[in-house]
Amino acid sequence: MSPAPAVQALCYIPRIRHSEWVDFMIDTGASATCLNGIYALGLEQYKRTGTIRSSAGISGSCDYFYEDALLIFMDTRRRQLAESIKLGIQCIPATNQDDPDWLHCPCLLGRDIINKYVFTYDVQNDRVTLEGQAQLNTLVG
Amino acid sequence: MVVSAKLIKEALDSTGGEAQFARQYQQYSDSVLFIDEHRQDLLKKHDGEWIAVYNSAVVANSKKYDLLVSKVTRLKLPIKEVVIKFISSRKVVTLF
Repeated sequence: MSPAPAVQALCYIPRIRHSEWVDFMIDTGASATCLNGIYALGLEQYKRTGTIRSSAGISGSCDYFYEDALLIFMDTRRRQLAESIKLGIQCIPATNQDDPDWLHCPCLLGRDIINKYVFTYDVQNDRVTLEGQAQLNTLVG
Repeated sequence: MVVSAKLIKEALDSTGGEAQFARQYQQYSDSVLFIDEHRQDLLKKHDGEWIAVYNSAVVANSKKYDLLVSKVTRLKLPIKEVVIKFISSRKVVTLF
């Protein structure tokens, strides 16, 4: 089975000055972008319980806490594209923190980002290309 | 939403600046691609294991995620730039 379409981005959370590279699976079924699995586990220590909300998906429900975050992508013309979002971060229960089924859950790039760009998925060559739209004024460089 | 230039600079500075951002992006994307392109070979060697890939090479592997992170840390590799994936031949239907 071929891997799901994905893009990579730098994820920066200013409140805790945390940055890391994230491999996002493109998910048109997700309304919002979120960190799951090992990416969420690394941020568990920064969880603010007051921001926890339950989110429902086709496979069930899960708790997420939220942070203001900046995602920076690079498009096919090697321009940096920055997007500020409210990022959902999966709460990983202590009892599941060494369970691969929880930890390898991919990060999802949801429609809060997808709708602002032109993504092209070449299934034959398993390549995703990303283009910034002209009306975006968040282009850098 | 318009993103402030100050915030973008702060994020880029966290990587070491624009040149480092571009280098890290290339390294990280290439390493993700390496896993996708070598999935069958990786399955033969690492089925049921976590692997860490840096500069398009497997640099560490372990059955346990926390042990893998320890190995990567001992290698003094920049953990934020290392691609970590669980490799499994187990058929799983993933629903989101």
